[in-house]
Amino acid sequence: MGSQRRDLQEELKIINQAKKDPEVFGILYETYYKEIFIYINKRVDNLSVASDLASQVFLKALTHLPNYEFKGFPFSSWLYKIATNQVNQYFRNSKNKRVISIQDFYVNRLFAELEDRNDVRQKEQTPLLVRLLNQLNEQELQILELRFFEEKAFKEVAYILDITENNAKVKTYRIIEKLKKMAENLEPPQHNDIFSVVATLFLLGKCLFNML
Amino acid sequence: MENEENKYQININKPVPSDQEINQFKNFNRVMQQYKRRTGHRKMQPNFLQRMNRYIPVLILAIIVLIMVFIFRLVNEKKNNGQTAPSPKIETPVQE
Repeated sequence: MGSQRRDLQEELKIINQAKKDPEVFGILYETYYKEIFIYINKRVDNLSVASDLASQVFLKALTHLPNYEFKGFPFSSWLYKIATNQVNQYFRNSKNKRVISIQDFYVNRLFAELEDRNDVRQKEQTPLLVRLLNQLNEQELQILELRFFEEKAFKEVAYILDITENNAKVKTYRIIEKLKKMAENLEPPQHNDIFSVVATLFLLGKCLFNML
Repeated sequence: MENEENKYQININKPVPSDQEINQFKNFNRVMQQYKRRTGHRKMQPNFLQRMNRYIPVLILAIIVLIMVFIFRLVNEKKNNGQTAPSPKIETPVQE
């Protein structure tokens, strides 16, 4: 915790220097480029678009650096905020589908949160989650992604999405409740459906063959 | 994993781009150039205009109002002149 605070103070010094000399901003660029690039690429799934958007994020950050106010979060939170807005703007102006990138590990974590759905087997979790995620709107999705897939604290989620911390907590709780309800209504996909169809076709074929 | 019904494209366990791929796109000089172009453009604005930035719309509005008052007065004066000054009578010569 102490080292984190020291890091934040050192970072703040760099930011203050960068406000006077923009060339110093290069240190922040080097530190956070990869993180922001990956964050954007997870949402657009296109390397060249992600690089364009990442450049715009850093350009905006540099241009508006004099307005930056330290609020106890790492500088990356401010970059995430700009990146989120930039990605939203990109999808408003394009017809491309918004991408959700998830790892199995996060699926398990989310299902641990949906306590009632413990009965869902691990193999069935991912297809069920895909169906559930498609029912969420953009803002709900952003909260879910930042909280569960990016593992951000509520305070940081609130800062990135420009809402209060309480609001972020309430919204997350509501999303979890919504997902629970939807999971109750949605039956997990039947894996043996295809086998039953094949078996029926086989039997029908056999009957026809016998008749002939 | 993508269906036609799906609102979102969902990628599961897709590998993150490598450091090498990401570094190909990293270019701080380009960001600096764009920044200089942007801020340089602002410096091109004359200082006088920058200082007068707030008052310029008010000034333009005042000029428009003055011009309108001037035109209105001019038209009004012309009208008044037309009403007060009697038009000269044209006498037709009587033929003998």
